[in-house]
Amino acid sequence: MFRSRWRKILRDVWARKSRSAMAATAIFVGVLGVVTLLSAGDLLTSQLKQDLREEDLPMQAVFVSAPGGADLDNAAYLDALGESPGVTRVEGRAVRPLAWKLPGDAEFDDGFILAAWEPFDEITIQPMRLSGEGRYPSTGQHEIAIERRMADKHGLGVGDQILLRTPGGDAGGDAWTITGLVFMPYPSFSAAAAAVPSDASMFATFEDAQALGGFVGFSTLYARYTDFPTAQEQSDSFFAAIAQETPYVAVYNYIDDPAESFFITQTAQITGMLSMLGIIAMVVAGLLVVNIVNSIVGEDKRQIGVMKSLGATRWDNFVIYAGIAITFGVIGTVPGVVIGSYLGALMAQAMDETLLTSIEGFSLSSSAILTGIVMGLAIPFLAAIVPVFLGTRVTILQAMTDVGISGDYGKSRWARAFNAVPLPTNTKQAVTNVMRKKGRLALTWLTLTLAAASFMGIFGMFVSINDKIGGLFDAFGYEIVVVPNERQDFEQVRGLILAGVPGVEAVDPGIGLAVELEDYVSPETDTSQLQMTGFDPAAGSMELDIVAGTAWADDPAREGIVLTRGVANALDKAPGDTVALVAQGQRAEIEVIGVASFAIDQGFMEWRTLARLVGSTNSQGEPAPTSMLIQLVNPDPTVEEVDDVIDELDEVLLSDGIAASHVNQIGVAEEIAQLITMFGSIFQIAAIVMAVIGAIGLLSTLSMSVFERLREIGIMRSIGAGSVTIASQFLTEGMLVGMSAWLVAVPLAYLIAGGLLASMEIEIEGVGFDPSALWIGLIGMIVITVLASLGPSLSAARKTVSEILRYQ
Amino acid sequence: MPEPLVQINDLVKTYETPAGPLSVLQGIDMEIGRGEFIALVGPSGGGKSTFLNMLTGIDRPTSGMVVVDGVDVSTTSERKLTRWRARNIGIVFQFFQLLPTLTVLENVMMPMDFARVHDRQERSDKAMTLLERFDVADQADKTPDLLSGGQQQRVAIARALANDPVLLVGDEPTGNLDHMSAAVVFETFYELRDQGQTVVIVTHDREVVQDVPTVLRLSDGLVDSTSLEAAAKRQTREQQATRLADL
Amino acid sequence: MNDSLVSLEGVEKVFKTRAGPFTALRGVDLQIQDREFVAIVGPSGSGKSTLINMMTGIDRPTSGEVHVAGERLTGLSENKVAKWRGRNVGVVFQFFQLMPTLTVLENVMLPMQYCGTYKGQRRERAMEMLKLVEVPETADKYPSQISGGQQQRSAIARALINDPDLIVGDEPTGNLDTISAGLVFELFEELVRQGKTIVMVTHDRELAGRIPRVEEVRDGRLVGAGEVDARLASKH
Repeated sequence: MFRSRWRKILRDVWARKSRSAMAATAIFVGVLGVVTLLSAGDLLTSQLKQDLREEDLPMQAVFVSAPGGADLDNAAYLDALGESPGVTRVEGRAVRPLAWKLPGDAEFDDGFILAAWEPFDEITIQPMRLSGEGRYPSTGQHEIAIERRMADKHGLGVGDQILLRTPGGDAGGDAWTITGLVFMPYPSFSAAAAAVPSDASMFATFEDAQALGGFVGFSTLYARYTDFPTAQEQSDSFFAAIAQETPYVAVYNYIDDPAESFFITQTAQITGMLSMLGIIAMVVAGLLVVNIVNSIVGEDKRQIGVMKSLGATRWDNFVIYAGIAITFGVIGTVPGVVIGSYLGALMAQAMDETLLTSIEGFSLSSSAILTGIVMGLAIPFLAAIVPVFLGTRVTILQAMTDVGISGDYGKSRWARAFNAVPLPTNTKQAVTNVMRKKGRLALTWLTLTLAAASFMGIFGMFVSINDKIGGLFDAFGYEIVVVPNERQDFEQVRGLILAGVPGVEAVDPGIGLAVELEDYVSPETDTSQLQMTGFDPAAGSMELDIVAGTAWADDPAREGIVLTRGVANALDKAPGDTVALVAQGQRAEIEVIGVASFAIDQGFMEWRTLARLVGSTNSQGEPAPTSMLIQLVNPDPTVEEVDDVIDELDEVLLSDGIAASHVNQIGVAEEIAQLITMFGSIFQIAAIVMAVIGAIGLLSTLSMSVFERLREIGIMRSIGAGSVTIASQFLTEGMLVGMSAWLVAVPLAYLIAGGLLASMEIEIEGVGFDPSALWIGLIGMIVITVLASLGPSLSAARKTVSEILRYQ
Repeated sequence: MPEPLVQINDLVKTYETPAGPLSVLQGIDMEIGRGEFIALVGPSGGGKSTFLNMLTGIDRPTSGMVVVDGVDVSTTSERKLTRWRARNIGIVFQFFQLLPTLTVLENVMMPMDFARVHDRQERSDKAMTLLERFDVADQADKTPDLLSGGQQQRVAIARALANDPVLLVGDEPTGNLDHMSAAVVFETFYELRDQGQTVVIVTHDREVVQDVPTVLRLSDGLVDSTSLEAAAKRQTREQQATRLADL
Repeated sequence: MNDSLVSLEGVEKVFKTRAGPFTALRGVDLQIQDREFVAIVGPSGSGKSTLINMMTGIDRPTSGEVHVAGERLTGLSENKVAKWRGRNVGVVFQFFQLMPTLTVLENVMLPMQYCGTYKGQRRERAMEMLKLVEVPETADKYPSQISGGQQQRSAIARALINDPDLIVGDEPTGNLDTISAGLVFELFEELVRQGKTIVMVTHDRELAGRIPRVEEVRDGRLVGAGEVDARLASKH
């Protein structure tokens, strides 16, 4: 008996090639999505968990700006900070830009020098590990270690030499020898708040690094506490201690629970969302399978009756048709799992740098594969249960005397009421037909609605994000930010740049750092720190969109703070109110002189006011900016043009012994735009896949409709209906389904956009839903329904009466 | 006299239609003996197919009793009936109803599969034997759509006999065949009758039934009394003839 | 080209089945004039239905010529044939073939809508036709709510609605009880008296006996009319 059933199952699958292909393809796409996205997520999070050891992560990290000058007693500062309440360990790091090249290369490449105050084998927070043979470099020997990924990329090894461009040194670079290769899995950030690429990371002793990087002080301070709750309580004290016990100025401060490291949770979140997409695609595929199985069982009514008359029980029939569904599953799952695993590994490798980790080689995620297999088989089985159960219920008598779906239409109140509506007959019939098969239609309709809502929701959200971010960069009047390693004499450096670098329009002062704002909780870091930007309102470096108050319109030197709308609303402050800032351990009350519309929560002040507030002074005790904002003559330069200016700038400064980090604003803007586009595209693709599956569902539903109504088509043809009349009836049916789906999808889209924004914790002010998405969704829906309806409509129109009668 | 195979008492079937109740069978009493070959004729809508469905249990009477080989078909539960029917009744439909995706041999094996009798090799052998008997053995590995109408119907007959049923039933078995194929199929029925098989068919093809031993006319829900009497007379005559031959 | 209403010349129909070619009609010649009432009889599978399908354009001959109501059907496309049929032939099937989701009145109006005839008068004309076939009370009912006889008469009303000269029926009384069948037959006789031509396929020999002209089809050929008449002569 077993063999007989399998024979029928396999033969039936083969006999209905196009439908089997559709169902199997839908499953394949679903499984592919699930396995790819789950694999990528699993591989990435596993790698991160492996590399980022909980006991080695800091609980608090403070990025600091060092004062100029050589008298920094770093050891004493670290000891003092170590006395902060709850602190168990404090370590200092310096991460600075360092230009390097291979001997024989014409130009220098951008790189970074990373150094710890602590000797190499005493580092406990975010330590590096020696990779392969070799040893750590020693001081004063022109010895250096490089990250093993940098070695791989450039074919370097222990014993090789590279040339390093030191401030005030030889323009051709000094030769240093590589003594060892190092594996550094922990992400590091430069003073310009950019992630340091691991394939350009170099390591030296602190003394050597000071010479190489042209600095004296730290760029980052790490702290560990007795436990994380203590860290949460005491982080503000540590922050204050830095101001009180040291001459460093805190620029950015964050706390992170090592047990739930931000990098891991962020990755898990992003990949989690992508996995959700995969699962949704899988469910949508299941809906299509329901439709298809339903159509098969409907067509086979006679055969089911015959088998029953030969002694088949309901269970026998159930096994056969459920078996067909599972066969679809198997056909789709096998390639889905195989290709998905491969694609997942590729995706992990492509995304690893963005998520600040590194995947090497090809590995498989067993959890993803298992999930894919289970879903690939379970979904079609579950999808088949109801239609098969209902379809095999038919009695022998019903099956043999079935004369189509004439049924007994007409008795319901709905039918009578509808009859009274004055519509053209063709349209009436289309509506009636749509309403007759409510169950089957519901699934297709649901799929289309979900797909349309997802697409429009995602699209609308990303367009809005793009808009706001774009608007954000409009506020910046400068193209380059230069952050010297140590505070310099602003006027002197300014003169250097204006004289030596072509294409520069203006050099203006700037300050970027964080202060504590009373009663405020930053949604990003959960601390009370507020990002502050100090600039010269008289210069053209920032063009803020002031929505309340007068700010610096009348007096560019006015003291006071401009808050962004988000912060103002959170604190319920308006121009005229005061807020309390705490910096350098000192509390100061500042008047709110304006509210600005700006995507990211910030506070803006005239730079001198801010400099005095935080104690950013030069050796003469006068306010000194921490960065220089450079405007170019070219009003709309490309990323490459800006990079060229930066290269010249670097040379000019290094020749004068000044080392600095730089940011290509245009580059950053483009990168962010690309990142948003990349994520947006992934979501869009998921939505499009759902739409395609929905269209296939519609196509299948309409094809079934044509099949069931062959007799009616025959009648129409025999009494004079032309091809256009017949085709238009089915086209109308399709359009009805599609348009009603779009209508319901509109409010859903808003909900989905809101949900996505909330779950991604995007704190961009003013981001919402861009209505252009609705029209694009409408056009897309029209196109999809027309295409899906066209096939069945034309096929219906082409049927000849004699074919139909012969078939009957 | 041996026990009749089929006993029918006061068989009534009434349908509810929107235009009022429709009596398709109006109280039929009759018996069918073992080894009989009966053809039911009559106008369309006279109740022939409905009557046949009562015999097989595919349909249930509104009132009355149908007993086939000792089993009260009219009241047995659906599940038990399915099993019983598989082993005791062979049905030949007008439109062949062979499963299109299986080969001819597999089609004939199917009833044995469902009834779970014999093991696999035995089933295959038995099916081949049946196909040979009806002269379609050379089509064994083909799918039904490659056979002519007549061949398909003979395969259907082979399938109907797969489990050695006591009763073979046919609803317009030649309704869809051309002249010659119809004649061949009826030849087959005559052969079966000669081998002792009880055969009841329904047909509206007057020519082909001319040589059938018992022709009952079913019209307006009742069996024509004259034809019943004629059938009874013929039966008695045949039995007398058999007894005479034995002497 | 002659002036018969229906003219079949040398019509042959071969069906390609997977079991080989099957010849349904062999060299059929048939002429039918105005105001004739013709029965087409023959055993199952003899080709009767195929024959009348040629007349209605529902099927096409493999070779031969078909002219109906002055139109050469064999030269028209499928689409054009359908439209021509709507105006020139009324087709009546064995199983009524009314659209289940339209009322009887709407069913009867369909051919006018498809062919664009009788604009502005469609409702009245449909009601008149229903009166003619004596089932005006069914106008606003759905097919599932009326009896078989009423359905068939509504179907006849639909077949007549565009005033075609030719009415073709494939076992039109095949599914009716004796009384309803009789009524439908009387209707046909009346229509012939009024000038229509009716060609009817039937397997009911008694019914065929009442029809003035009977053509028998056997294995795809028309049997000589003489033989047929002789056989049926006793019935009259």
